[in-house]
Amino acid sequence: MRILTIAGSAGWCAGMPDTITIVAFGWSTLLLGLAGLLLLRAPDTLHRLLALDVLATTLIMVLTTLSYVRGVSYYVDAALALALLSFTATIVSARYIIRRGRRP
Amino acid sequence: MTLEMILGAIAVSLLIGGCALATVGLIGLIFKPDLFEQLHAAGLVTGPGVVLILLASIGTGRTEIITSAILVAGFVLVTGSISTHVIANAGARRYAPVPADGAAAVADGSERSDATGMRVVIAYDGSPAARVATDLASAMDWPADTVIRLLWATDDEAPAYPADAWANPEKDLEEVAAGLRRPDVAVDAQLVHGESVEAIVDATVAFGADLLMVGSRRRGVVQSVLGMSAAGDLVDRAPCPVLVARSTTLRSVLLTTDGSGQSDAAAELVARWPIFDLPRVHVVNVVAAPAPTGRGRVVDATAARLMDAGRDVVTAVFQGHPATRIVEAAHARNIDLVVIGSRGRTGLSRTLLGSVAGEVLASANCSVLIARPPARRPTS
Repeated sequence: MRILTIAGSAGWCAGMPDTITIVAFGWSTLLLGLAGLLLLRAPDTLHRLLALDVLATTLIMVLTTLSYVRGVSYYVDAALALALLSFTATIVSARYIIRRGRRP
Repeated sequence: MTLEMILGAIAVSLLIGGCALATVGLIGLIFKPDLFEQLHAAGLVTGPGVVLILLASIGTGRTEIITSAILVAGFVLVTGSISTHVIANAGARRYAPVPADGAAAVADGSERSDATGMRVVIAYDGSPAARVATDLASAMDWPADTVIRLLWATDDEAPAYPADAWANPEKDLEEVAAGLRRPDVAVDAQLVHGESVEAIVDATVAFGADLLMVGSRRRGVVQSVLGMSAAGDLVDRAPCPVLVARSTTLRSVLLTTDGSGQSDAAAELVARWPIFDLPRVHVVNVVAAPAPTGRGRVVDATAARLMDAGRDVVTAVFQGHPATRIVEAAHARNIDLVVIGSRGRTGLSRTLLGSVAGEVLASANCSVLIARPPARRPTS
């Protein structure tokens, strides 16, 4: 707990107990691992594309919960940039797949 | 203090709820192999899961975190649904059932030994754009024994244009059919339900059509970036040549040729189909480099083939970017219809470089007929 929370900022989290946010952060990290597993198991391009989309979303969760734990907003800003990039990547790749057609 | 505690309690439940939903979604993703089932499960993660966790920021009591988190939540809500739609769209095309080879061969037109009567499907939906297609069809000289089927595919959504026709599709179809009917041209009308592109492709395969005619509605920037042009979709998926109508007459035709299999298929259509008996045919070849002497032969060979078939032929060779030159030439020569071959959506190079036919279809102001080489077999 001491490692994650910024020293001397113990009073920042008025409503949410530290334990809950840290557990949520740990849980999101676990989900990130699951999403990575999903990406590795994906049988073809479209499944991989979807897995990447989900992976980016779980990473947004991880960054958000990390921001709650540490009480700083920068991580959420990073999550916003990540969401933007992931959206663009999904659109472009899906369009690429559509134009490539039915070839395996 | 109490307000903070209440907000904290809400935030904790949001956080737990978000984590739980995301977990359920990921478990679903891992255990469901089918893409569409996976999309359903992924919706839990990319939708409510992440949004609940972001909304839990109200418990931190920090303005900068809350504002950033709400911004991200709004963004994720918009982009998540678009991403899901785009992936589902790609999946629907990827895993769509392919027409049986037999049906595709019958529908190809070039397989037919002697094309006296043609089988034509006109996709009609009461819109002004579709009316252009039917007007063009009524201005064309169809060979005897031609059968035209008017096809109204509706997915029961209100149209984006004001149309009296929408109120009574059967009556409107009957009126348009009556306008097309000639002593030796049979016209029937059919109203089918279903997602329109899908339904039109299926009906075209079932009818064994030689030609599919559609209107051309200009789409917005967003739709074209996402690849959602109905005419473009049909061109990609139809089993037969597709005529995208933008003019209501057929007096002059521009045939593009480059010596490839697909342009030979286009030339074959012009040579074979009786609807090209009267219009003057401009055969155009666009070359990238300054034309070497031998390059003109492509045009000459195609022109010779067309003259054998009794066509009125003019030839020209241009240099430059193919699609741009073709569109310019069509405009300058007051062309009603551009005939162009397309290899279809195959090959990595085609995807990276774009298709000339697709570019011409997108930028020309005249009608475009897109032909396929006969041996086009969808791989699955």
